[in-house]
Amino acid sequence: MPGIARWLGVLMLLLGAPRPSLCASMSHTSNWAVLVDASRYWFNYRHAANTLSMYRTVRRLGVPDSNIILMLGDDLACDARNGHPGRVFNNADHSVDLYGDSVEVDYRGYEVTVENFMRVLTGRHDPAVPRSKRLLSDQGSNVLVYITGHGGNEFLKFQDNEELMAQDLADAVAQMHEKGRYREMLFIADTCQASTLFSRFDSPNILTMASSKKDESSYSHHNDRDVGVSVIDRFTYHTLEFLEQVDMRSSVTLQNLFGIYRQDLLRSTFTYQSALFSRPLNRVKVTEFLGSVTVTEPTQEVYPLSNKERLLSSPRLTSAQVPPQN
Amino acid sequence: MAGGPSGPDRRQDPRQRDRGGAARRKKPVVLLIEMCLRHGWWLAWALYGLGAAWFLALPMVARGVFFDENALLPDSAASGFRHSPVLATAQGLRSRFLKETGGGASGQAWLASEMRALGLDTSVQVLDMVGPMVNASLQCSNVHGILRAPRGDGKEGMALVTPITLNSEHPGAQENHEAAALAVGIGYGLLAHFATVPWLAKDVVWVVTDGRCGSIHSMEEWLDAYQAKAASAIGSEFKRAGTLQQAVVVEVTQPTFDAVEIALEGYNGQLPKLDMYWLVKSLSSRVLGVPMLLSDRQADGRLVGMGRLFGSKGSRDHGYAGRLEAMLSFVGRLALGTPTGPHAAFKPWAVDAITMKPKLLGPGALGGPKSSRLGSKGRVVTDAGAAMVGLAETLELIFRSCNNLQEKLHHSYFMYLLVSTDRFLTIDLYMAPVALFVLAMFLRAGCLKAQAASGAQAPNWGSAFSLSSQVYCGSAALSLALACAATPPSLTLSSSIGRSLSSGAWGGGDRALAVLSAAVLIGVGCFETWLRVKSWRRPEVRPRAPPSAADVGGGEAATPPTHGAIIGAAAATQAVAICTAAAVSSAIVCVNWALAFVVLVALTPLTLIINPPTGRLQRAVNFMAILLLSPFAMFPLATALLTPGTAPSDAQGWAALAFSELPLATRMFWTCTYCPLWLLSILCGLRT
Repeated sequence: MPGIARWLGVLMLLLGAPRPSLCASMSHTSNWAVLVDASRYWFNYRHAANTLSMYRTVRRLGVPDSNIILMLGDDLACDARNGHPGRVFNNADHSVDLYGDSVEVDYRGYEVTVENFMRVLTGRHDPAVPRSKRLLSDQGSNVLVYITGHGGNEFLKFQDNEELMAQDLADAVAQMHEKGRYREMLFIADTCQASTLFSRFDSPNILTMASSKKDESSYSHHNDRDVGVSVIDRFTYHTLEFLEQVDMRSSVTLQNLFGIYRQDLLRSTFTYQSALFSRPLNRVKVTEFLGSVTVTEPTQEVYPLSNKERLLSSPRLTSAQVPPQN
Repeated sequence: MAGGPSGPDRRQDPRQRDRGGAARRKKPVVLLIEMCLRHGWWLAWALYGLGAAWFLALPMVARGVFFDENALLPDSAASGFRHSPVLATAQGLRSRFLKETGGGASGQAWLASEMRALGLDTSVQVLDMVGPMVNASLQCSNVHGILRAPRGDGKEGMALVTPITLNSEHPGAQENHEAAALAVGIGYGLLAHFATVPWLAKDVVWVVTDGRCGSIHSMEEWLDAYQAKAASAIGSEFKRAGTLQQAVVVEVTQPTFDAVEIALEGYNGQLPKLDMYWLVKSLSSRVLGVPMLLSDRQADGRLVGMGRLFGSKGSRDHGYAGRLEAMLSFVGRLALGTPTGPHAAFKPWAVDAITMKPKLLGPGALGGPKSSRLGSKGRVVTDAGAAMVGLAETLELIFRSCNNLQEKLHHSYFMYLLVSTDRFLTIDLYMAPVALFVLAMFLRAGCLKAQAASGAQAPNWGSAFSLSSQVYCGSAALSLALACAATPPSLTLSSSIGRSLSSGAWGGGDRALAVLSAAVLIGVGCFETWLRVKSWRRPEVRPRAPPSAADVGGGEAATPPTHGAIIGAAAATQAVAICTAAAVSSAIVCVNWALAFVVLVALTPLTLIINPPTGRLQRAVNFMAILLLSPFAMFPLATALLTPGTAPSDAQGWAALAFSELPLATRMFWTCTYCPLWLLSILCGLRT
């Protein structure tokens, strides 16, 4: 019997059969978010507003900045054409300033490239890249990836200069699966022909949401006549409208979220792909991807410090006065 | 049997035999070419007819004008001018201008001081005019002020140009003065408003040019100084704002308006980008609510083109007659190559510029007095103050869109034909007729050459005028190459040459190149004439000795050339002439499409009708063709059909138009290409 099992295992490895989804059975220990605005220039203001709106949402729902990789292709808050310098709005009523003082942009301007995006996903960085720019997810992480910009059939334009192809994205995600860099992933794309970008995925535990299908454009929602540009896209606008009623303790499911998208609201067809996802959508809470999981254990014990650390933590002694550690 | 040809009927040389043997295995391409050449005359006429029919069908396939550049974001923002506090200041300035400036140079100086008071970087440029046409006591000056964008990087600028004419002695001075006040009020109000807005990213340059020295000329002088064309201009007191990216010229000639004309055409048919036109047209139409016009009107609003024969309303008429009329007058203006506004000066510096001309046409000018068809557009802006606010609001939105651009218009067509104010044709559609005409001419030349080849089989001409095929082909090719090379420089330089002519100061390089191009073109014509005349001289008839064995190597005994040989020689020279004409026309297409088109419409039938005169009938036909298609007939006809507004009334006027008022390019083309070819047609067609 063991011999047969061993041979079966070898055979499966040889045939490259997908491994059983070990990931889903791992416990969910952290949340990460990669938010990408792939466009630049003033007339793509709404893409930055989309991304910043999602950034504010995931932060509000508990994901800390250390777990968010925010990539903005252009600095529109400080563009000379911005009549409200330092502020980015997603609504003509200017009720929320998305930028403000507490935004942490990890990849800015010309750093937002296809190469950097792929490096973030696969974790293959130059040794000098700081921790804040790395996606340090593991087998227990739920990863949210939100992309917006100008897209086409199986590609996304980065900075009006280069394209991210659907096959490359699928390969990066396959690498992530091999390396155990995620437990479950949710991809959201608000671009034209968005669903084609995710058409090559074949890794397990992937769920995708796309604002339009092939040969369809995604539209902007409304124009702000003060700023002079469209400030938000339809898909993101309606998503945010729904997420306004969601907070950290909410048990709203993805099924509820998917139900709000209608053709007449979006003027395009909302498409999702759940074939690679193991769990049913009405059992997946929105906060499992957009919020954060933190396990807190209150304890009475003191964290065990070494002798040197204890002395250093005292304010009266400098390191020169600390006796050498045995 | 080996040996050279020994008589007119012997065709036994080895090459002939091989060719005969290979006839069974001819390639399909060769067969096709031979078939084309056999029926060439009919085929060429068919191509000409197809080209003409294509052109006449174009107005119906024109598509609607649309915005190509996404970055423009036209009309996305609300205008703030109407509610701005600077409005009162601008109105005050307008009335102060009327009171305090009485014409003459004091107007410019006063303006400069007001600009400085507003906080603009101001400079005054005094134009030194030379030449006999300028009144020596007249001194023109341009004034410009620059508003620096506080958060911009200062590398780019947008220009607002308001030409004014302050002429106290001129009749109509009062109206000019009020119009100048309106223009100045618009510029001042706009700049004052821009100083308060938070969204300005590019510097704004407000230029007030002096119309007394010619609005186009003074614009060119200002631009030369801005671009530091002369070394003396660098480091002088002339203030600059970085690279100018877009420019809007507002040419106000009356204090009130009920229509706005948009002038597009520059030198040699150069046009601004279509997005620039559509931006101005759509915003003006929405904000002002008055009809928009192309330059197909005279000053009193009457149509310039031939459409009034069909009762069309010009560019505002969307029926076939109206569109055809608008298209023909557009082509006519492009062919003429005369600029229709000061914006033409910007194009050589790669600045997208356009001219707006608010006009008061009167109630009956646009198809009846306040007809119900005009609807809400039947407005007359009767108050100069309201005119100022409306135009300033429109310009604010235009400049805001230009401000949104990254540098310049990266997309958008710059070669197009407008068939109405909102329909256009792209170059792939309107290039086809010209290509068909040129193809017809080359086909005709090919047929004639084939005819010449078959006709000149006769050997033993006197060496005086028989050319070996290599020399013949070589000389033909050389003349074609020279003709092609000569044409574009002469046309591309014509704007600067034309300016040099008008101001009397020739640049050395310009003059040399113009003279060289003209010389080459005329030289080619002379060379072809020489070829033709040379073929007329035939050797005298001499008795011929019977061929002996010693003559086997190809005796050159003179025999009278056969009729076929004579026709062949005529056909050969005509073929070379037609090839040159077609090649030169193709070269001109690259520079000024409309000029090439207008000339080819006449030149192609000329080459097709003229046949070597084989008999009296053919000679008569040739004579009629030469008469009807002569430059003396074609030039007035073209002017009457395409731009009747410029048609002079007497012979002196025609002479003036032909020899001094037309742009140099057009003149050079008519005199150096069309006339020599027409003369050659006389030589080819009337005498064997």
